[in-house]
Amino acid sequence: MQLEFSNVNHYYGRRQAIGGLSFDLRQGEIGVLIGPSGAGKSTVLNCIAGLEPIVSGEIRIGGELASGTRVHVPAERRQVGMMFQDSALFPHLDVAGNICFGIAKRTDRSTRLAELLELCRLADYAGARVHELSGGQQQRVALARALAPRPKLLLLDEPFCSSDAALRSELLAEVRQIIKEEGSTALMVTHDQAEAFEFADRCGVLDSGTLCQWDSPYNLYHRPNCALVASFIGDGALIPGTLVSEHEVETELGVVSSDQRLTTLLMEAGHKVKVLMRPDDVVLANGCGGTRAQVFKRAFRGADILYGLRTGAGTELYACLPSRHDLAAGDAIEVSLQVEHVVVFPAVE
Amino acid sequence: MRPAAVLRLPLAGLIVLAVLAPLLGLGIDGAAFASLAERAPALGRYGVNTLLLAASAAGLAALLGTACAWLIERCRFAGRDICAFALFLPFALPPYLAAFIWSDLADRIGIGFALRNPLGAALIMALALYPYVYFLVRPAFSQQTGALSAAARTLGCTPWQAFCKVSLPLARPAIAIGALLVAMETANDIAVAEDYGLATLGYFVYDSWLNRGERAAAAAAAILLALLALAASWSETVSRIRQRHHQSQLRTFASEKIAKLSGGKALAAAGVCWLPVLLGFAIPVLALIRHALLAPAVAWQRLPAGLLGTALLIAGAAALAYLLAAAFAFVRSRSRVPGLFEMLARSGYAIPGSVFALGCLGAAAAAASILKAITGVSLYWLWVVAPVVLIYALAVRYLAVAAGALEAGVAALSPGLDKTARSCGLSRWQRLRMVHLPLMAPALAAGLLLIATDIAKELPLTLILRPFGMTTLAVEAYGFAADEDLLGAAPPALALVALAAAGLIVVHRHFRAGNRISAG
Amino acid sequence: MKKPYFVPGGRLLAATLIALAGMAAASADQVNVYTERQQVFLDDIFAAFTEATGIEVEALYIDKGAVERLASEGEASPADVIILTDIGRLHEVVKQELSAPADSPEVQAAVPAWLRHPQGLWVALTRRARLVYAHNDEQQLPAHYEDLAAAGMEGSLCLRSGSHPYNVALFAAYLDRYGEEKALGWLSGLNQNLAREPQGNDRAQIKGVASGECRYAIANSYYYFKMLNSDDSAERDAAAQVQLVAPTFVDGGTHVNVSGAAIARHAPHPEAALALINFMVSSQAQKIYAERNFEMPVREDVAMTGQLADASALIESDSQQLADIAQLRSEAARLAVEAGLAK
Repeated sequence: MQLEFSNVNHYYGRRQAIGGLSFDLRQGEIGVLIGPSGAGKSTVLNCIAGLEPIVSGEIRIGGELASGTRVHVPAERRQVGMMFQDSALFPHLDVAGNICFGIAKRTDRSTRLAELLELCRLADYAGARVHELSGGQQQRVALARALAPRPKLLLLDEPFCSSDAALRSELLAEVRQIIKEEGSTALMVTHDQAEAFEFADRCGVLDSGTLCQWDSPYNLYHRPNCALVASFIGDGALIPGTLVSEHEVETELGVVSSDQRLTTLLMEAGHKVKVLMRPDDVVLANGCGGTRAQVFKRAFRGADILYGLRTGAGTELYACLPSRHDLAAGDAIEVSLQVEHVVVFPAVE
Repeated sequence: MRPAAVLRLPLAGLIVLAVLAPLLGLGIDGAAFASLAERAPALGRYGVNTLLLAASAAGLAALLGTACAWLIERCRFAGRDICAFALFLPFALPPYLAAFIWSDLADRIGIGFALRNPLGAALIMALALYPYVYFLVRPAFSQQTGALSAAARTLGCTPWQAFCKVSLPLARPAIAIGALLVAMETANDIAVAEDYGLATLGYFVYDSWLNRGERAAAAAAAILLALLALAASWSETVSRIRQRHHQSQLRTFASEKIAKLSGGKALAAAGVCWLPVLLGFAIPVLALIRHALLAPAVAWQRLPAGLLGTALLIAGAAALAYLLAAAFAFVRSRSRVPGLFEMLARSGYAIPGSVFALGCLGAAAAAASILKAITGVSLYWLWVVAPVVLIYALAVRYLAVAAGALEAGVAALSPGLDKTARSCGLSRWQRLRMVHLPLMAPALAAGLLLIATDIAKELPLTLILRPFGMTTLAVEAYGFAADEDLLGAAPPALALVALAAAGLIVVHRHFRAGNRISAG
Repeated sequence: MKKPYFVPGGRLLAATLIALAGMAAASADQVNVYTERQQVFLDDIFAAFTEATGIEVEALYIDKGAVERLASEGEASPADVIILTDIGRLHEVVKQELSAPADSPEVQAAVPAWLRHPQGLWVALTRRARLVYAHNDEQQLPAHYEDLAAAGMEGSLCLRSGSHPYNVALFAAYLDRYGEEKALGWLSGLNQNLAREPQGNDRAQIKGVASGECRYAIANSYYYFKMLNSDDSAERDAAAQVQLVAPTFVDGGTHVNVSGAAIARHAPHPEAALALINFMVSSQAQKIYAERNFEMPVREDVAMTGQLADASALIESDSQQLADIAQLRSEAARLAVEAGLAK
């Protein structure tokens, strides 16, 4: 494991910022922590980078203990690179000066610099001043600077939050490719799940300093293991239902069956549950015996339209339908369910 | 053409003339340059002495000011808030007075010789003037985004290396301006140089002109001194233009981490910060208080008059200095040679105050005769009986401080702000009053405090140019000190300190508010 | 936003003060003085003058630069009288033709000829002797200024900067008497005997003797007396350990400098100006000088008291032309640099 973050606690004064948080990253893997602002994302990065001491738990980087209850390896000895919001380039140095800042051996500088300038498509800008660069170029310099000392781990603190949407997705792909080419292990934090899904090999939702699932983006979306993740990730609704057998759950829109066993020790047949309905689980069934539902809001998204629907019983759910069906608020349609991954959670009494 | 554009060139000419008038008024002629050539070796020696003294005073002041500013901005330790305040106080004491007091204390224990030498003078000047650096560098540190030193840390720098390689270079423009002001004040000092037996150009100019009437020699040395000041000012300007940082483009999303110190480290930090306050302020002021208890009654009786004169000069000269600075900023912002105007703004610091005063006299006489030729009426009486020339002279002398404050204030404004205000339907004056001034207030207030303190303790100009019946606290203090009577000098000197402390209390609140704005 | 209202208030105040100052300067029964002397004791003399004559005195205490201010103001100057501290500065007034004769019978009767300009373009008001100080226990007291430069006394002498006007005048007096070669030899001798680099003011030299830093010191006599009568016990104690020595040049005469006055050439109130100068050489004013500032009167008929009288008796008066000393200042200052007494 390149990064082991085990049961870490951190406090700001008396406020707990991280509570018993654990996750890990393998060599060459890219991890992403998603969370709203104030969730403790930056604190996690600062603890890993050694900018903040932890109260308890352990952080191991490349197998070596970096932070523990009585251990704190200072930031400069951890070999962890970091990319910041707003790039945080040194304004008093040029591009080459920024990139070479962390390279300890003078002799390595020119070759490593040339390598990184090439890798980050900055070859023409070695002597440029930081303020002369575009936003995207600044981010690439920041990445090159962080990668220059060949860190054991690269941390990215919402590095694209100030870029505009178009530039962001381009940068995202570019940065991911550079990281993969370098074979680096990286951990990014962001509040944007689209960004996370595109970037991550493994990711998780951080909420109030805790993490309940650390998994692939696919699993996080389709097999969330807690209601929080289910509702935070992607659009979707939790609709009421009842377990009718080990593999079947009954809802207002019909019975849904799953390949996997749905019952657990705590949820047996007959129990009331909540069923996760993704917009792509709901399909149009006009005249095919679907359930009637009324459109109460719509969001045009180009190829498809996201509709908010309300059934006769008042259950709200979302449907993603091709945009050739142009419905207005108030229109009634019939829908049915076509669920690949059935996810149920115990209903809270 | 818009009226502003038509006005610009004459305005620029007028301002340049107004600022250079005291130098032109010296009437430096061919004889001065001939004398300069003739005395080159001797003057070269004075020049080297001056440079060494100014450089060591500026270096010490930069070290003290920067170290204290950094500790105050980045660390928390017991008594930090009081210390942040007290660190400005040494600025209230005129350097010569601190020098005389230390000299007297040293004589009492028979070690006067150990203090009265170039190193001692540099130390005294640094202790009296480091607040220039401290005041300018504190905002530079408080406005730096924390991500920069965090980035340096993750790139393998220890906290100290991160300070040296990132924080310090970013604060360098502020340090350089502060150190430059210290260097120019030191080079132009006369009283300390005389008492400590130093051979500086500033003292030579004064001595040869006012003690021996050797005008050409004095003018030659003044030219050399002005050239040195010009060179120093120019190199600072050039290095700053090259180092333009565009720090403002960085959103300060996270302010720098503040280290809570305890135990030995807190003690050491407090020690470093209190040392200049102790040496530059507490000990001299304690000595002054002791002297004041023994001072003759007459020294106390004249305090109200001194206070009134000081207040009048501060009100008049500070307002005019800001007005000049605003006109300067207007002209400079549209000039192709902004660096030239920056140097021009500092020309008031280029020569010793007493020589500057003589230049003002010359300029006033010339202006009076021109006015008389035009109007047929001699207006000289007005200049003689009213502090017109004096207020003008003070404003030009401290233009550099006002210009710096204005520049820092303007830096706090963003162009978007003006557009927003305009879109809200505010007129130009409303925008100035409701948006610009409140945002610029911290910088302007800090500048005002520096100028006001500078004017309050200013000496040769006030002595030579004031009208009948006008006195200031500094004049009162010097009247006794020049007679080698420290007892009589004590009451007005203490009043000066009290005045500066009062001003500091008023401005300090603004200063903290300014930090909040820039961090938010 | 209260601040903007303050500015008009300030201007109003300024305007009022300007008007008041204007009225003060323009009043008829008045005399305007520019002076490079200190306010401390002059105010008493001016008060006595106003009491005696009804003429008000407006004085501007300018530490240095009064002459230059007078010159630049030219005909427009409001100054009637200029009072200066050193023969060099008085000479400057004459050189720049800034003064008018003050040659009244009172002045002629009160002031010996060598203490005034032949045409009365300046008049000395006080004499100030530059003397030597040694510790009370000191056995070997110098009889002549030359003794201070004698061989075998290395590390014994303290003086302030060799470029200070008081020292320059002393050096110029020597130069005037003995010529350049001898003067340079004497100055070099002084330099060899220095206990420390020239530094400090006159009082610091006397304190140096008290603390043992210096065996001999050179300083003006009134500073010694002021220390003896100081409110500061430390200064009193220091001076009490020190004795005053009045040396002469080898061929007689103690170096004496003067403070003096002149009537401004464009004085708006010439009669009042002359009245003031007449008063300042009167017994009444001379006595104030002696008592308050411990300077020796120019009048021979003014009785001095106590220590000042004793010291004055030691001083061998001398008729060396002060104007010559004034003219030799630049030369003397150059020699001081050459000898190493000034940098």
